[in-house]
Amino acid sequence: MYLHPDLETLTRRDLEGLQLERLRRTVALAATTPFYGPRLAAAGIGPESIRSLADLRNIPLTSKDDLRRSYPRGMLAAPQEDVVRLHASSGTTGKPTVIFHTAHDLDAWTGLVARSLYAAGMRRHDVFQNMMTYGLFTGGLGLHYGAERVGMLVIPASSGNTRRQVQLIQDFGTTAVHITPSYALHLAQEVLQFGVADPRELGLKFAVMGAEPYSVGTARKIEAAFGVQVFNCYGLSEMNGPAVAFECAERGGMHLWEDNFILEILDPETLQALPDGAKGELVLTTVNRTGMPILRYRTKDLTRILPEPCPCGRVHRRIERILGRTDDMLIIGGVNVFPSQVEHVLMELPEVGSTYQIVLTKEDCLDRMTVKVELRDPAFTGDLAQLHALQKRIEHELKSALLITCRVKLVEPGDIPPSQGKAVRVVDERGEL
Amino acid sequence: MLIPQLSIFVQDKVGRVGEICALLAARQVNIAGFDIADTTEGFGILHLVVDRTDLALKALQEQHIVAKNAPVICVRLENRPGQLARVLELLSQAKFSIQYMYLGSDNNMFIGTDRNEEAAVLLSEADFRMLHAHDLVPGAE
Repeated sequence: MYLHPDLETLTRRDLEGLQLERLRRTVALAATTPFYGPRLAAAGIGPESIRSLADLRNIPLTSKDDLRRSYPRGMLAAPQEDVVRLHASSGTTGKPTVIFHTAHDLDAWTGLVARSLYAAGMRRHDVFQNMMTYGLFTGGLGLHYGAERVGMLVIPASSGNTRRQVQLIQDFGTTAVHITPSYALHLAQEVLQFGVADPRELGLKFAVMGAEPYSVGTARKIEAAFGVQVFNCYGLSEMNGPAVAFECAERGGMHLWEDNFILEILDPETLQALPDGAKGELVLTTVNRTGMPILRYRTKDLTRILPEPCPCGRVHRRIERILGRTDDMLIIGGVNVFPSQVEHVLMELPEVGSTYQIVLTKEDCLDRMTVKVELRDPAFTGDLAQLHALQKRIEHELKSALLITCRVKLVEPGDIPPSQGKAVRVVDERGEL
Repeated sequence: MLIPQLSIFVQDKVGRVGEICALLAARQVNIAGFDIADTTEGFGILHLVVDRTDLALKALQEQHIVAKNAPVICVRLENRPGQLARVLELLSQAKFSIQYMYLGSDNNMFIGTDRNEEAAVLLSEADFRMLHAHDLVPGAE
């Protein structure tokens, strides 16, 4: 039941010993980078000052802003020739964040994904259909190589095109899928159109679900619809991507792979450490990454550590499903979107004001984003064709900045209530997922 | 040879057009022509020809309503068969593209084309009666 028994079932003491050794190496490596070099020197921290894991707390926290400021190579710790891949996410104000991986890093990440899928019960005879978008986003390639390492037949289907997804499942006997919860609900409805009377006829056994937060209720609904077991998967591109934490066959919280990451839960206001069991912001340190080590990264995700040992016997502590965010990030169809990105696009367009409202709704189980913008008087020529062209242009600009399709609705000045933070800028009518 | 016309951006909202009309009524503005170009996108354009365009425009803009003066062709049609057909024939022969048209009071046909000035000259030379701004002012007739 363990793919890496030595790394999954070692004692807490041995795990912490491994973490300390790896943390020292990580700090030494980070100190060579343009970003961390001066920062660690200013804090008087070097590998020798890390005598115990508790010394981690003396290291300054790293934020997404720090990643953006050091774009593109400020945190790169490896020589360019040792870097073999990068992944990037769209930035909050146009500038993306990038993560570099060496061959070692990809091998380690692939190992974590493989270990996770194996823990869920997938084996080499399974057929794994990856319905996540391939590309700069980590959900495609990350799971792909991990599933291959388990020895499964992997179908790189990518997202969308329901007809083709159904055909692939039927033709190749797919047993496991990697899917967003909203697409799973959509698929359950749509299969009827393709001659499948009951989604259970598809013969799926496992559904790996991540990229969007969802409730236990939604997981149970998807399990009932397809006759599958749902496994919750947590990750973020800054920490590789999927399989930072993963549910084992017990499905009682996600084991966070502590041989690769050191986890802390901090009070997001005071930044003080919270005891196991208390809800707070998840802060992660990579301890097995050589291309781009990141120290004490504020994920902005709220969760808590489940202190009780898991019956599966793994030493890695479990975190609860993500309970929310400490910032205003939205997750739309699995893609992370910050309202500031929308604002940034609108500021470049003289025809509309900077007042906007994002309205999120569900259509056939899928997320739909509408952006309301106020037309500005000086730009109006009285011509309907001009308004249509303007609308299309804003939709196009938003799509290139956010990487998702949204609808633009032109409204009269004063229609949008004056913005007083997130509450007014974003109207989320999607209901709980 | 064009007459002033209010082109008003309106959102699809119950009662919105009524509010705009009430606003103009309160200023004693008389409406001589009215048209709504609707879209499926949640907004439309309201065209109004009124007796006192400047006053109406100011009243609308004070309420932060997005409006412009977009001059339009106005031709008075005689009340007999073939008049409208002849207007359209002339315009199409000269390759004008008609964007919208609507009928107002007193058989006044309002036409918006891609080249309004030229189209008005064409119709005038064909002896159609073209209306001017002062024709719409109360008591002008």
